[in-house]
Amino acid sequence: MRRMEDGIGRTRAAPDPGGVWRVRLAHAVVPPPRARRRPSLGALERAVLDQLWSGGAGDVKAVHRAVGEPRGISPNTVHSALERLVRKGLAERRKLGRAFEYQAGVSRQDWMREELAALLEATPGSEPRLLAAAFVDWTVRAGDERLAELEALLRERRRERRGEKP
Amino acid sequence: MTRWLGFAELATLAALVFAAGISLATAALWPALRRAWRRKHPAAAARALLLAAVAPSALPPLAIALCLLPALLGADHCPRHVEHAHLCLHHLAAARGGVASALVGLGAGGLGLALLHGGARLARAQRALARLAASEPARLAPDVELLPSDAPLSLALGALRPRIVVSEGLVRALAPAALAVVLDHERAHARRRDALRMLLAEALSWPHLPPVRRALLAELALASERACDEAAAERAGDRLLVAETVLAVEQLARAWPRAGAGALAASFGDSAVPPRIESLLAEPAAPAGAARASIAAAALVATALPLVEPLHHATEHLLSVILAVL
Repeated sequence: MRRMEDGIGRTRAAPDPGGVWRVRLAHAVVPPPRARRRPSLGALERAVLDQLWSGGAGDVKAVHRAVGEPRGISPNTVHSALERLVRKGLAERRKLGRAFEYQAGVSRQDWMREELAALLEATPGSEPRLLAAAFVDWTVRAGDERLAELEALLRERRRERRGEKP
Repeated sequence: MTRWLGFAELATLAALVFAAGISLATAALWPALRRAWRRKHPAAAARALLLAAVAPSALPPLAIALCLLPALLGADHCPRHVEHAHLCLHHLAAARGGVASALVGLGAGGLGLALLHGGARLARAQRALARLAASEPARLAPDVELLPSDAPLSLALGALRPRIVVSEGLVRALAPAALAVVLDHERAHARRRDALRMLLAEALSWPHLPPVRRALLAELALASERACDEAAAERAGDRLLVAETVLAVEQLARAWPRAGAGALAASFGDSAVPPRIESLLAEPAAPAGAARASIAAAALVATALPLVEPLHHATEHLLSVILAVL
């Protein structure tokens, strides 16, 4: 494996360049499934979807009461937002008597998982990561040995401190 | 009009020369610069690294403005040495056509493309963040949104008005004291506008040599993380606790199973975690006061002013040599 210096004078494993290249190549030929079709979502559509998640299935009247009235918008506007969600595959519609009932077409957990995956698994320097600062970088892991060393060191420091102040 | 084209040619050429000079100088001095900045307080190091990253884009226009200063102030020294090219508003040089014009076109076109590309990336990033935002998110604290996810995650999202987001998974996994450390770290990111700094550094560091640019950006990212660790340590009054929290979150991240087929596996080796923990275990560097920074800036301006005339002269001389070669 290639080794390189890390700036404090220690050497450590460099990522395998072949691996990176293979991944890039794969991306160029077949875009990852998530990147292919991710419908965009307006603020009202998002609010309506949130309502379908938290309030469960409902007809236009019910969704309008929860989302439209506080915003001062008409039932028609809410209806067209619901229809847009249906077209984007994010909501489902079924006939219930004379009205339609709408329910979320994707669970909130699945939605969250996909969005986070898109945010975190993207290659470094890609769009979403431009604007995100994570507590620890999600795409890069420290080596096992280094981490075990540091863990032992931290434990020792903690013990020393407890020893000082019993 | 054609005479202004001549001026644009000279100015672009001068800007290219300045940019190349700055990036070569940075490359030559890089090992020494990095050693010096590693010893500084991370907040001061992050400032210096940001300046170094944007220098080859930001300084050339500034240097040209300085070159033009004598002419703008009414001095006209062109007649005193007629053998030079004149980078001056009184004596606009004629367009030379050919290579020089191509350079101007290339420079302007490249700049336009870079701006378009950057704008498009930024817009896509904003959309991706908007999709994560619930219309009425659950909140852990007035400034902290709770993300309905099991992934052990905390993020400061956005460049101008960063939102702080933590996942339910992280809240469940961490002890309250450790969670407070994570939140203080993210608040420091938000206060420092670190995403915006990285954005600027990425966008304006292109003229650097690629290996130097990569090293600069990595070092800037590390300095930002360390600065936020220091802020969290100061709030908690316990550096060891912050180090333990960094380690704990790293271990949670590596234990988390990655979902999805198209997902890239995390790479090993380049992590900022070991140096962060090491510097938390070491003695803290003395913080650099804002007063010292402004004194340094004032001193820099004071030394630059008498240098305007020699700078102007040297630039014109250099341009003459280059134009003779072209």
